[in-house]
Amino acid sequence: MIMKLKQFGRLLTMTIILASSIDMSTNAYAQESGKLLEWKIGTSKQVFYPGEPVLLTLNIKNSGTQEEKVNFGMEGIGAFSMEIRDSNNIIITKGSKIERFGFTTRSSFLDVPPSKIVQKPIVLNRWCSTLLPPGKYHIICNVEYRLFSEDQKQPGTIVFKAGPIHKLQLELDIQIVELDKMEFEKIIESLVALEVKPESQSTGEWLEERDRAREMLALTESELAVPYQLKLLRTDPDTWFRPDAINSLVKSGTLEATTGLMQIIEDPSCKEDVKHVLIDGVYRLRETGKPDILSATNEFVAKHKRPFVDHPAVD
Amino acid sequence: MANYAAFQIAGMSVENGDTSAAGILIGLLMWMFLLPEGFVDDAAGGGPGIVCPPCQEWGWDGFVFRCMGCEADCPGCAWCDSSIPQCKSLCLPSECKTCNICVNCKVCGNDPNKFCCSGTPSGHCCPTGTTCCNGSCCDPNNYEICKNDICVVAKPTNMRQTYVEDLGNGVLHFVYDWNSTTGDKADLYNCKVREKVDYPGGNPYYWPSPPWAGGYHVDNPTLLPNPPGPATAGHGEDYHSPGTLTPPYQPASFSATQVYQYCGPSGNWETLLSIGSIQRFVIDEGGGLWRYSIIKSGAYAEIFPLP
Repeated sequence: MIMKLKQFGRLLTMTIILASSIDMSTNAYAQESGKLLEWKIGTSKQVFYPGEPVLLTLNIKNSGTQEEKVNFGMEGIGAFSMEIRDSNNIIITKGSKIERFGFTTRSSFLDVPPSKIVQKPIVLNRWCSTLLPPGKYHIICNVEYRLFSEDQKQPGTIVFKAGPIHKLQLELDIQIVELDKMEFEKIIESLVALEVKPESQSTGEWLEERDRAREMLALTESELAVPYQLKLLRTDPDTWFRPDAINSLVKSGTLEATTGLMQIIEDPSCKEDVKHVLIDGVYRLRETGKPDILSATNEFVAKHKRPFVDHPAVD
Repeated sequence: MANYAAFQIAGMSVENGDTSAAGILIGLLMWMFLLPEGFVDDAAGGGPGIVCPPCQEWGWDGFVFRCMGCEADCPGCAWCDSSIPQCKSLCLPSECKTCNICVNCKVCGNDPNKFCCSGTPSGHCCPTGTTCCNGSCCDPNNYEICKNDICVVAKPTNMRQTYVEDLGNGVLHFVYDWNSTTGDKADLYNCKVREKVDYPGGNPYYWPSPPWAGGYHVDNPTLLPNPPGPATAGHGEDYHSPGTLTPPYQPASFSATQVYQYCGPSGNWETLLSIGSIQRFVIDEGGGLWRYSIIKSGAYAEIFPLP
């Protein structure tokens, strides 16, 4: 009887270990060790629909005794570049580093206290489209970061000389499956649901989650997201993710996106600076050459000249 | 008086949050039996030029049993006061205190640009566009927010440079922080922040070419970020690029003027921190060597020698 209990105990332990390892693989973790910082990348799930936003979460563990401040570059995303490879290791799509000069309220820095793990979420679709045929894919996330602690004050000045760039490559696998419209709708709706603050959540936590959901929604590459992207532009035209939402609407190449943008522009409450970028969006939709979009916008383009919106930001 | 009292019981049972069916029913029955037909209140029935008739149609509006036909029967009339069971001319300022249960009170003091604002000890009429704050009107155009039942001014203030680094390749990176006049940055939810950089000349501004690439231009003024950032961040960063320099080089320089700004719902941008000039130079150092340099707020970065 005692032996049987022991055997059962072993069996239970084995089961727990096995279950844990299964859980790790479904979370698609990858790992790269640095000096004091240990990096892991993961997604909340492994299977995605074409065009679905893929939220990558970097987990950074500080095994040192001092707080580290990681500099991720401009707007906190300048450090990243991405690649998606197919099962034959052939690069399918690539997204290079994003440079946004000028002023921003987005921080480059992430504080990682000693003996703590801090998360940095980024949306893969900002770099690479997930509008891919069903199959297994390998994601390579290149990170080129600096450490604040390695900056050195230049003698006799107020200026610090930035420290060296650390490079690392984080990898993980995802699977793209056939589109299930109803399930995709549910995913979009779950993002939209975060527009309402749950009573149990603090405002700060909610705003952080809502912004992440907005970013994912704005970067969703599907006509199913068009009504919600238009709604986001209508309700909060100053949203940080306005350019992303406009890009996705343009990418959708739909008449719904076109008429939606025109309606927002024609609304008397639409501010001039917002109109500017929306009008450009309508012109970009016309570049699809689709007859329905062209005929729906002929009158519009006669009324609205195409603005210049491609000036580089420098200061 | 008995009529008033009975009616007030019906009204009070809602006003005090006692929404039990029994409470409402008792109040209602008392009011129905005690209220004589054709009741006319001396104080009611007359805003300027409007005579409001006794109510013709009563019904439940949520938990409030009230006159449903005031506006339909007599334009400009509404059921505004729980203590006066009659249609009245639209709420007068003095009656605003009852507007919390007067669902039809869409205007205040016959002014369509005002709304009733309940509060302690008494309410006021607030202009449209303001927010009601325990009887006071907070004007977001003046950066007022309602905090702890008091209107307070919430503006970003004390923007200061906290760090500057030379990232190499002629890129300068500045870090700034700011506070809120309330002491809590979360209160700055009505405010946006941005930079405004003015370059000499027209819009767009073409950088001198050579040494910068032909046709290299920027918005003048440059307003970033677009859309403006939330002031609640309390933190901003600015990256300055050397632009696109292409040989053959030629000496050149120009100066831009930068200011950081904030704005509230009024849309008027105000100065948060005035930086002054951002200067760029391309200098011939002799021997075929060229230097690019940028100076802002006493900080300096360069590319030497230029490739």
